[in-house]
Amino acid sequence: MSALLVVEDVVKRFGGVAAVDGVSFTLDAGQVLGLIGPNGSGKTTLLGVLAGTHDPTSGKVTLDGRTASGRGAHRAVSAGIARTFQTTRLFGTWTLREALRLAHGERRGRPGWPDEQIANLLGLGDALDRPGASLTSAAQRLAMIALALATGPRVLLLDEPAVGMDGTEAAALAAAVRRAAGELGVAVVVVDHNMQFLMPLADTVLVMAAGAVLASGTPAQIRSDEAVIASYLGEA
Amino acid sequence: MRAHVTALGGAVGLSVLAYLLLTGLSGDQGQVALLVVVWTIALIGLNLIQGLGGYPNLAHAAFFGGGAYLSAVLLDTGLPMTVAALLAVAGVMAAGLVVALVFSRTRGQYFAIGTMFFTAVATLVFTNAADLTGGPNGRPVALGYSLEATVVLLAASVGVGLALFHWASVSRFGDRLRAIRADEDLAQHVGVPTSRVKLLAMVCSAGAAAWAGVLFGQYNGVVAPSQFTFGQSFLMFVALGLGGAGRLLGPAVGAAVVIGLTQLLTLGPGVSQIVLGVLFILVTLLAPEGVLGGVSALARRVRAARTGRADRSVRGEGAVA
Repeated sequence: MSALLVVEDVVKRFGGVAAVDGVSFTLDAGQVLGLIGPNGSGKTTLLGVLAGTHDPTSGKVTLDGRTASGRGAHRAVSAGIARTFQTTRLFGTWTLREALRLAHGERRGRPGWPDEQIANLLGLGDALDRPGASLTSAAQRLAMIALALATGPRVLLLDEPAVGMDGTEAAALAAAVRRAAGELGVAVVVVDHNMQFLMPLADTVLVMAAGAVLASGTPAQIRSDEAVIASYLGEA
Repeated sequence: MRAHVTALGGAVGLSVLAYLLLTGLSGDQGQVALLVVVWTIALIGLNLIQGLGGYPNLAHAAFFGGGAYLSAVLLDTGLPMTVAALLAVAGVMAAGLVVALVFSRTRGQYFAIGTMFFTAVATLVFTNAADLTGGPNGRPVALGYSLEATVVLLAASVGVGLALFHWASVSRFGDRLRAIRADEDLAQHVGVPTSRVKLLAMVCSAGAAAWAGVLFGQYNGVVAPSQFTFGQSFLMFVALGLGGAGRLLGPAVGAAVVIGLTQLLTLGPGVSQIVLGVLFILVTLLAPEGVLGGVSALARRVRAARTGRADRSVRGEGAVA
């Protein structure tokens, strides 16, 4: 069986700078990939290419054998790739229920959970009728994930979802992501700097440096990789 | 359900009101009534792209004038009035599509500047294509519909326009436009085909303006470029904001206030603009969602004061952990 998501030699240049410089990897349904690396190593740009936020300069992304990159964000969502952002964005004064309904409306037959179930998964069941802006910052980050899940994705891209969360909140988030991956078969790519959050969550980890892949492997392999320790993780 | 009944009631009520004003008033007052009704029809269209979608469209007077001129020109070729009217509306909608295609990559003030530029070019054409448009002094419009028929069409268009707007507003199309207004990038990332939605809104918007222009020409009997300038586009933009952008009755309230002030306040050259300018600043400061938004906010506060508690969810207190 071939992988759900195939990323082939993706390059993204901004002017003369190659923010992503030849990244390839594959991801199966239900798998969680941790994407780590120093600031500026191209993690967010890579997510942007996967989600259609940016067109790749070269290379391509295929989902189930069909090209999903370079066709704009809404087509990436139609193909089944949804993302969250580092900064929280939730349509301002909209309630979570309204925002979920809109996202759900764009699902077009892709399977997924009802909005309430998604909200409950992320512990937002009581927050459905509140304006997004009135939620705590941790709840807003969860709400963005709910919004992405409401589109019925097959690939979920999370950009620093655990920022500003304490250990308990991050653990609850990790459990929710695991359930989405396990029960819905969603493939997840998580970018985060919080290793206590990411390492237990990820099945595989991809380390980026200067736009390229520095190392990839299981969390245990990455933890003991000398190049990764030198460039990013640091000595314990 | 109740919202639908209220909206339909409003549509029928304003339709009847428009008919009574158009048939009851004459002379200068009749002219004011005509302009208010015509602007209401045009602004119902603008309420899609600008009101729901949040795109400041300053091409609206050009679409309005396009409908008026194009139908007059087509009528002269011997076409039946309804055919001329439909062709004029279709032609302007095609122009709206082109404008939307060209400027849909720009947002905010850049979209405003781009569409303003389009209106400036359209005014130049209206003024200088003298064979067709009669030049700076305008041209007569042949009578295609009887005056009575035009009045009925004007009144009916208000009602039908409001009903259609309400339908669009509560449909997925309305939600998508509101999402674009709130956060266009996020809207794309939850799957909203933003370009297509904006194109559709712009084309429908242009169609409403063109239809208003057709009826305006029929009622007025003469069209001149001074009625379709950038200044008029800007006043339409202001009128919708004043009345309440995105709100069903915003167009009617905005048209009444702006036309009323510009036409009735003949206090001397420039005075009505000053009054309008001050009013717009006051509304922007005190009721940023327009007159109707201000009224409903006030009603909410009165109700909250009566029940003795502030509306916590709206004011964002007590965040969820």
